[in-house]
Amino acid sequence: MLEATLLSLQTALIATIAMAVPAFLIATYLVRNNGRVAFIVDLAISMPLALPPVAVGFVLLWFFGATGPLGSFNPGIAFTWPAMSIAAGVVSLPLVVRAFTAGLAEVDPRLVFAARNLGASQLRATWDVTLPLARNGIAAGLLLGFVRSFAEFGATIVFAGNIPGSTQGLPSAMFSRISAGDFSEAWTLAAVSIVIGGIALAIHNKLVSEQRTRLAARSASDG
Amino acid sequence: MASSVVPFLEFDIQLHQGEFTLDVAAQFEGGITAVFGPSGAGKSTLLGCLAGMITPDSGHIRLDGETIFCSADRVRQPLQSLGIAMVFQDGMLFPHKTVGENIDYGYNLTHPDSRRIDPQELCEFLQIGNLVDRYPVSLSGGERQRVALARSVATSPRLLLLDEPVASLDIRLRNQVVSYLKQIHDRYGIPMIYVSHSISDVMALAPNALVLERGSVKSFCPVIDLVADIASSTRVGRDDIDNLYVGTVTPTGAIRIGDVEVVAQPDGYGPGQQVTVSISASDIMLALEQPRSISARNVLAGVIQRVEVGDYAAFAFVDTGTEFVVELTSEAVESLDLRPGKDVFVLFKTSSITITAG
Repeated sequence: MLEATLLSLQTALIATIAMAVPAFLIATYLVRNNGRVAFIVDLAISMPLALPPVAVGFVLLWFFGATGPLGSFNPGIAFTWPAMSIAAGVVSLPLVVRAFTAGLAEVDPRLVFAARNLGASQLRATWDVTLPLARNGIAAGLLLGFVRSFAEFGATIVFAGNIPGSTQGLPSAMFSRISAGDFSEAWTLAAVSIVIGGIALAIHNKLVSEQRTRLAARSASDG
Repeated sequence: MASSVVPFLEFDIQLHQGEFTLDVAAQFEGGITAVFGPSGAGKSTLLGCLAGMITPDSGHIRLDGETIFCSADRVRQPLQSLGIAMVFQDGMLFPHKTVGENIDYGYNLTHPDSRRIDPQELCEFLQIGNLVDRYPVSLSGGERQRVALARSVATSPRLLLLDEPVASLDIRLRNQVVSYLKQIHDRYGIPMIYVSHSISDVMALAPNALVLERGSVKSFCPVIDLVADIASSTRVGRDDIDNLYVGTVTPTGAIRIGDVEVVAQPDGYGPGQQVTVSISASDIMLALEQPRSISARNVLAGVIQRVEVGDYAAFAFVDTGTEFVVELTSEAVESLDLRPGKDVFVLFKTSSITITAG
């Protein structure tokens, strides 16, 4: 049980860290562009929100399999623990991008230009101005990604399987206990997920409400 | 000398943005040049192009003989190394950094060999030394613009662009910031381009103005020539013309402006203190003889330099040792036979003088 919990935490942590930079780049692109390409990018990364997670897992299984686009270069990643992080990452990415986009939309592009104008490179201006000003949205997005990854079940069980000690995270373990009629173990696992998810979500909500307060204060002082 | 042949700034740029087309070419000398025109004329877009914020569709920009943008040769110098600093209308201070951190930001990114201006001295000069630990949100409008100015000047720029930096300020603060701009220019010799739609600031700062209208150059002329346009516009909706000076409070409580002393009420300002003084052109009268029994305390003898008569107003430029612009009616110009070279007296009341620190 501890093993499954730790595996889920590890999966969620790796997925969140791996997603951070790509999600930031996609969100930056989406905030600055609203043409046809941006529409398609947004649609493509948002698809996992609209699909049954099982379908996402199925697509991943095909993508990383011998008959997929990678062909004989497929890394044989299916049914291993990295597959859990990939499944969790793909399913969580749209949520992370959405939260990042909300955070980045708050940053006045002229402030970033002001930093560039004062001698900062693009990277430096992002670090010194964009990130600190979008920090609540960024942190909220990372927490949301972590929570969603920690809770991931459907895509994971198809793409990574449910192998105890290898690819059995907390949700899969819970599923196995319920299937076997072992309700007391299942309840313990449910309690653990409620505590971890609840804490992460509470921090997330606090960050979002802080962001709202700040926005309200700013528009009040502008007006 | 090469520098007399090569203009300080030369540009010829075209940009299409939806319905709007910017197509401007001009050559600026150093010093302060104004870009003047109604809103929507393309003033800010032009500044954005010069600062590298907006890439023109075609054309070139050369600063000090160096090409910083050229569409034909595919030259586009990186934004951060242009050495062209911009001051925005609303300051654009970093809200998460203190005033001190804001000012140090650009200074620290400036190569040590290029640093010519000490931020601390600059802060003292702009009287913002006591604000360094505060956050921008707690600053007043005038303080915010002085900090924004300090932040840009601290990078020792080759050129300073000012995008309506006083548009959101009331008249006193506007005078103060304009006066600081003038002094910064005199003190550090930084060439400036000053964008405004207010003739008064432009007159106080720049000898020449590039006038834009609907994205094209309407004229490039001495600022004084713009007064003729003003005289031909109805009084409703046009700018008042203010006479703006930097002066010093005398021990007797008057204010010395250049070669003249004006009687004012510099309450709260001590002898020797530098102040900005503004007098609206419409608050000044002219007399052909020196009036003896009159309540107005300021009566200065001068000579008319120039008279502009338009459909709706007339303006006389009078040299009393310091130049005053006086607003009149065309009837007054006719009946008093006002023309250049004529001796006159300039009259205004003490209460017509607005005094601001700095």
